[in-house]
Amino acid sequence: MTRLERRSSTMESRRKSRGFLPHRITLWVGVCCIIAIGLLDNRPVDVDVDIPSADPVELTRDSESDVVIVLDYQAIKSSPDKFSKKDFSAAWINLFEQEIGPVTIATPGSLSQKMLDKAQVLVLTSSASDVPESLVKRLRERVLDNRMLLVQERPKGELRDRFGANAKVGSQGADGFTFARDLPEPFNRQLLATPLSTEYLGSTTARERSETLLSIDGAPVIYAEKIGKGTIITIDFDLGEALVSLQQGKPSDDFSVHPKGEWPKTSDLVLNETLNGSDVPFADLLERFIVHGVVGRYRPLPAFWLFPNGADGAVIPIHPDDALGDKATWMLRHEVTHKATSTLLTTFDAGMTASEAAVANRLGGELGLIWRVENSPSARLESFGVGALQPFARAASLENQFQAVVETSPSEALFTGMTHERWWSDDWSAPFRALVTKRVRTDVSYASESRGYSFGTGLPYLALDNSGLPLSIREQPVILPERATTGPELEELLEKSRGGHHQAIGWSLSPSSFSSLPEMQRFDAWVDSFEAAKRHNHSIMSVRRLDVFLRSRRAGVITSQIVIENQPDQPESRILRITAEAKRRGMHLMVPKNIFNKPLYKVRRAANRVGDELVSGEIEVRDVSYVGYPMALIPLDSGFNSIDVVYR
Amino acid sequence: MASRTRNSVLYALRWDIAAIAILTFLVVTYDWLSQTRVRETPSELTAGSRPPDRTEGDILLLLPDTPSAEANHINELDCSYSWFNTLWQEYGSFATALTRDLSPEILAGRTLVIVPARVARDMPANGVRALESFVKRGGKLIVERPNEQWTSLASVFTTGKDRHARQITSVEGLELRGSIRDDLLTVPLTGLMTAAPDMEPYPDGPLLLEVDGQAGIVRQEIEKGEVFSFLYNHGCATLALQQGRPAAESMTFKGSSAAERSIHVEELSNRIPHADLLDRAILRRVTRDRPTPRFWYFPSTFSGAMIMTLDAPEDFASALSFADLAKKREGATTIYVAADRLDDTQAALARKTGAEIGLSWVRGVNRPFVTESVGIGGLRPVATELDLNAQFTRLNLTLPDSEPLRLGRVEESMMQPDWASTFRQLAAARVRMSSTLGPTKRDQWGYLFGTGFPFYPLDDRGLPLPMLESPFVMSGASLSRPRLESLLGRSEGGDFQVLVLSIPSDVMARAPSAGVLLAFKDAFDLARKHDHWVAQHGELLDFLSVRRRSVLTSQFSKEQRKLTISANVLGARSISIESGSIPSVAFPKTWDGEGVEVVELDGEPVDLRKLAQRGSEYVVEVGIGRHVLMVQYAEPKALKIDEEAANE
Repeated sequence: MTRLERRSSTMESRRKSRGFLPHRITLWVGVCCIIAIGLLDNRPVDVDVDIPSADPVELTRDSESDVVIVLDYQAIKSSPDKFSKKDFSAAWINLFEQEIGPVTIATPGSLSQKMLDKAQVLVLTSSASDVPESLVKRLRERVLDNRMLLVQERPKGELRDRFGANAKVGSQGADGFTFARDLPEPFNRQLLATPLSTEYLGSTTARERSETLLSIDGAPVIYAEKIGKGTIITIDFDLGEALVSLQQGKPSDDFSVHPKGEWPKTSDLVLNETLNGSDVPFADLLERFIVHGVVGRYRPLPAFWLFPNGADGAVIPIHPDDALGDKATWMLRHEVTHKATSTLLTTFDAGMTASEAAVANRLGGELGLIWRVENSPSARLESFGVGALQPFARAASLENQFQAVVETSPSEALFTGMTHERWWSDDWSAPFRALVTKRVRTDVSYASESRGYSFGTGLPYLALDNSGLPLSIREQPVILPERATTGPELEELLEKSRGGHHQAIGWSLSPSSFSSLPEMQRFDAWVDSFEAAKRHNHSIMSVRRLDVFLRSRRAGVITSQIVIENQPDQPESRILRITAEAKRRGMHLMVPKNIFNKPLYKVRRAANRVGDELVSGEIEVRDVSYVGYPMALIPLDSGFNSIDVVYR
Repeated sequence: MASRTRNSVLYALRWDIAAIAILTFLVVTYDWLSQTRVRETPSELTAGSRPPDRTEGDILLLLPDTPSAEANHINELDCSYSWFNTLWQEYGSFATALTRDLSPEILAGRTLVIVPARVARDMPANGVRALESFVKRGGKLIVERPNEQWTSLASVFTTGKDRHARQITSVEGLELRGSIRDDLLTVPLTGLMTAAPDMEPYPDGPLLLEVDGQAGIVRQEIEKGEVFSFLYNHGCATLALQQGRPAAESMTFKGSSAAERSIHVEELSNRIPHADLLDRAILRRVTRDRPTPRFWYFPSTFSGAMIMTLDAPEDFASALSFADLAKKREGATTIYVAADRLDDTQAALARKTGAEIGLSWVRGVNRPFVTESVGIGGLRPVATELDLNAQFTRLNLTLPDSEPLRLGRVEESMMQPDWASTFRQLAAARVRMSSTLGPTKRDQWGYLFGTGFPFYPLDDRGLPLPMLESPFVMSGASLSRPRLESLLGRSEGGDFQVLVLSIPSDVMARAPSAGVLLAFKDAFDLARKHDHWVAQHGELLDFLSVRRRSVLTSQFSKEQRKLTISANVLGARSISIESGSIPSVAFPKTWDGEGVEVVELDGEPVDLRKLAQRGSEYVVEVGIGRHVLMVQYAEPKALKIDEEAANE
């Protein structure tokens, strides 16, 4: 071949080769696609998932109750979207529901004359503190006649001018309580040590002729003034924020939660380091001081006792499991031998079957959900795609997780939930809003790294939304978390509970915690707990059982009036005449042992006519100390009870 | 044209296609190489062999001159050495001789001679004559399944073909008292029996024990001695109870699990050690007229022994945790660990907890095989399973020279389905004691193998293997405090057993229950409370060894009612017994209706009140060395009165 011919041939080859370029490109693109799909199949692309969200509720209730709380939800909603400025007046709902039971909740629009007439105690929360003059007048009349005790929180307008201190100093950050009137020791000292996140209204002078009941930083923040025959109590600090920051934890001001680790946990919400390992439920102590030490000082209020059958408290065993599946019921099987029940929480992938869930149900146990929060480190990714090709992955949704667990539950509903490993969200109340969409009633995610009342309470409380409004879910913090090594032990907590704090002590112990390196000390502590609880008169029950009891308690009726009785040759008696409807058996009424310097003389059922005689039976009561206040527990029959508590 | 175009495309892209093909080949090859394929390795076997003869002992066991052929089913099996196990368990010291060595000299001084079925079948006439002389001089003879040759000694009335023995139907002739009468009626039997006519039970007739409604054991007085004819094969019956009963007409079992071999496989529990009770009842009856001492089952005067073992084929850390707990409870443990799960550090930790180490022979049931892999770097495509011998060696190298490996257990008690291969493999690997047989089904517990006492497994020719099998009675979640207490109580009350407990180290993950931990926690205290020796498996092995090597003989004078016992006692070092584990001497508390009057040890009187009573025997601690124990039985009271009257 000549050079020209060779050159011509090469050029011809190159021309032909360029002609096949599209084929080459297609071939290699195809190969790359196959490689990409293969890689994605092994390492799918994460797709973000949104967490569902329910709306808060504007809770109102017209109960047969001595107490009426007035909340203005519009005012709450329009309060600034900053935690430190948010109106948390809704915390009053939990305060009275926990301490009394039934309470009427009204808004300014729904507050009727009938409610005013029935109310023995009217609470104008901070949200409803600016009342019209016409209402002020009606309230004043009732107070003057001692037909009503008025409690006003940070009043504005005429109520401030007429019945409050001048508040001229304005809003001040609070360091701590410095004085509490007549709260017995050691509870007084404990209350003064309460960690606070709140503001109070400072005044240049104290309200004249008022009696200071509680001070912050030396300034009176709760004071009472006699008006005619009655009393008005003014609360000049943000009680809502104080309680919410303790119980529900304090986020950043924009309601975001900053994690200490890789992702927010509920332990990141603890208000103050001093709360970790605390043996004092500060939030409940404050609530009880308000109800029984402040309000009760001027208008003693009977209340439903917090626990069934007059127990001094409750131990709530919680068993979270993400590994054993059916085998996780072993702790419940042992608890049953001690006539105790517990709550078993399981993840959707732990392997619990319907048959074993039915066994747990028959044994009296409760089944609940452990939610692997989407986007948290616990999220369980599920691949999806087309057919065998699944190059994408997203976290199993709450909906799917819930559905998987509820299908095994014989009751077809799950009432208790918890986030896996207590991972939370970067939004303060988002997990609550999500759980509400599945009608979970109680969440037990809140716990710190140490034992104790890190969230100021062991009792379930109503969770609030970022808007300040209540959500249809309660949080019940765990007092003895799984791996805690510091803080008070169960025996100490039981002793202090019986001695006055009367708590629900949530104890989390995973059934798989003995799987490796069985710790006999922890096992012994669990086995001994039944005897310890019995010794301290504490019931052992599941989260659900306590919730059902407390619901019945809230649904009951308590109305009372104080009657003065003068009989010849007898000292003057004050009779606390109570009508109470107990919605179930095993309920008790709690009344003070002293009112207006008169000790409790006897308790009797209201007189019934038997033939020509009026007959009434005397009731035996049990004395308890309720944060130092001497109280008496009166057993109730199921249904209506008319009871006279005679003080002489 | 199109075809030419396609060809030219392929031709143009030929190098691209080649590159893709090479790439694909490399990927597939890498994928193949990165997966490991395991090659299983069969383990060596060894055969049984005749143990060395012993000449000393009150009891002589005659054995076949030659081993039999391999049996095809249980009825063909030579069970002669099953009597060896019986005597080894019950007496410790006894003599053996081949049939061909039978002579008046070898019979001299014996109390009892036992002739198993195969020996009886092949006994020459002069042997029968020698034994006849022995009996006439006062000796006792047990002959199993005697044939026509034995007419002069045994009442053999054959009324038909041999049939299968099923169950004991009456024990009246044994004159037993207590619950043992009912217990023996539940003993399932194996093997053939000689048909016989009806007979009267002792004392009215010769019948001692009835099987399936006909004579099972018949007694005949021959001048001064007695002959006990066993018309059923007692050796095979106890062998089947201990080592299992294969499927009909074969020497294989239905499943691979050890529990499937048991006669009691269908039952969930068996509290009765049938094999031992049957042996004891018969031997006590046979030696009733001539008190026959023996070495007590356990060191000192313990009523039993409890051995706590932990299975750790996978999780050694948890086993250490259990062992540590045991140490705190003053207990002892033996950990069966896989060869690849123990390194020097862990071995040192095990020593700190006082735990003894045995081999868990991994069969790949719940974890991968123990392997050695071949490859380069991370590419290990081929792995070879280490056979049992290699696993044994590997583990043994981790242990100090002063504590060589002697113990073994098969993972999950999974055995070859044939009669003895697994035992033969264990013996070949130098395991001296195995603890593989036991209840493995859920909730199954007790003496599934007729005894808790170790025994020598027999091979297909009926020869004993050079290792012991020590069955366990409870494993995993079947362990509970009430069950343990019931077995300990029975053992202390008369069963006198070794209770081996087997706990998988991961029991709280696989089959968690509160009962397991509660039982483990209390096991050692319970054992001590019931007078049981808390020991490691190796300690038991050592004790049994010295018990067999110690020598015990006796002379009895009927006229003087005096029993003289000569003992040469060896001892073994023991962690749990400071003075060492030393066999004690047991002898009957009564003879001829009268109790013991005087006991002298090496010429020194022994306070009768300080003698330990165990069932119908006294147990005396004699210490190491040569001793002479003299036991004087009291005169009958009627005789005493006569003597006293004569003296007056």
